[in-house]
Amino acid sequence: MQDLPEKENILLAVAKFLGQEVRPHVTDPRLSFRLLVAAHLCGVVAQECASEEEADAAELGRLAALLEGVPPSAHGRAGRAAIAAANVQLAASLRDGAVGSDPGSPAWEHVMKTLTEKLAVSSARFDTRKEIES
Amino acid sequence: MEIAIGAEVVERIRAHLEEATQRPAEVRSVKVLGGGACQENFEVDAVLGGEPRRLVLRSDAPTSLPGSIDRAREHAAIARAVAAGVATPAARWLGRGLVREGSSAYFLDWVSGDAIGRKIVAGKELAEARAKLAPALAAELAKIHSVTPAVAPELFDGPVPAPYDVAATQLQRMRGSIDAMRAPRPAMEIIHRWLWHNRPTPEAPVLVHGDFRTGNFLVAPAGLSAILDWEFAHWGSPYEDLTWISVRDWRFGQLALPIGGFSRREPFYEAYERASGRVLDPRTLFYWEVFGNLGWAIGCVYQVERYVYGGVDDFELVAIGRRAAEMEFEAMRLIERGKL
Repeated sequence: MQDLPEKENILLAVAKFLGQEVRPHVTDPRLSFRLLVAAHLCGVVAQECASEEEADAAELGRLAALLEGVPPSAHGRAGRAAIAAANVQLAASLRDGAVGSDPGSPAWEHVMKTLTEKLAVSSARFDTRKEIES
Repeated sequence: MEIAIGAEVVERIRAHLEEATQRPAEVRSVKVLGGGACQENFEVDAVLGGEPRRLVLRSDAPTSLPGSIDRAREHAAIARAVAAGVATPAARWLGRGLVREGSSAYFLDWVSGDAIGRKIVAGKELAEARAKLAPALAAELAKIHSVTPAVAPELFDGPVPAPYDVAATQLQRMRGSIDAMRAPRPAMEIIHRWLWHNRPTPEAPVLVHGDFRTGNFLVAPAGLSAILDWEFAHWGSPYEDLTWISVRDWRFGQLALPIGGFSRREPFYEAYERASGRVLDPRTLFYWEVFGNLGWAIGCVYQVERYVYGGVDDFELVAIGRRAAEMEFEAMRLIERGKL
């Protein structure tokens, strides 16, 4: 295990440096936009570092409740491999209809929940309300 | 992706212009413009027969995206659109091997205006243009959709049955794209299955722009100046173009303005009905908007896979990948809602 600073500290420092120190000096609009994107991506990964353990555990738990033969818990690399394998199984079952996917079904709810959790990290400002046009 | 413009390329462009226009040609500069995945664009300052001309040169890129056409076909589609009165710069002087060997390229007259999404939905200087943009675009779409296989059978490869189950054909292609992805996408499976089982009645195909959205038309303070980027033109359903503009990403953050991030729905649909003589079916609009969101979700994954596995070293592809979840969410939100 590494000493301080932690991954999140480094990424947030880089994001702040790019966005607040470098960007004001950049006049080219395309480069300025790309700097903004770069700073944003650093922030996303910092957020991912902070929440991935919990989110992965929850995703695997839901997959185990939905599908046969999925371990209800596993951590780190083994956990991610278990999620990946379960998602292959889930995708195939959804495709051939072996697992129902009408709105409100367990698979539907799981997929919506997983998308919502991913978006909370990768697009923190994404509006997850059901009504967006009013 | 940088392309060096050598003296050799400049000379090829000059010689081609001279031959194609039958007038003495001089090329003063060739500058790289922001391109896309399927084409490379250049600004060419030329003098043709003593007359200064600012042109865009559009050349095939070394790679293409699924469903895209090459510049030669694009040139033909634009010619049909221009003949139908669409506000798009005429494509001229098609040539081969100008920028790179084996690639097709053609020229467009330079049109001023802005295509940057954020500016179009929020720029102060475009406020007046924005207010009348939806009906103007609807009128252009009606003109595009007036081109049919009966009028222009030569445009695209293969026979076009009429009526034609456009959704089925495209869903089969999407199936192939999803199967080719490196990681499974349960949300895409749910959406694809729903789309397959809820297909609309087959209809007579029309010329579809195929990428009709904020970012692919030029807007000047006076209003809409041109429709651009015909690389996804095909025979399809008019509803494809009518709903692609409302895909979540193409609202550029203005969610409450579902037409491209600058208008409510009614002015756009009503103007289209007036201009085209068609009556739009709300259920079919709903269907194709779900469809469009899946289409762009697939596009996002395709783009990031080009970076991760395809050796395309473009930083912006990294930023696109995770946006797929936004369009997956949106498609599922719509399905759950059961209407727009």
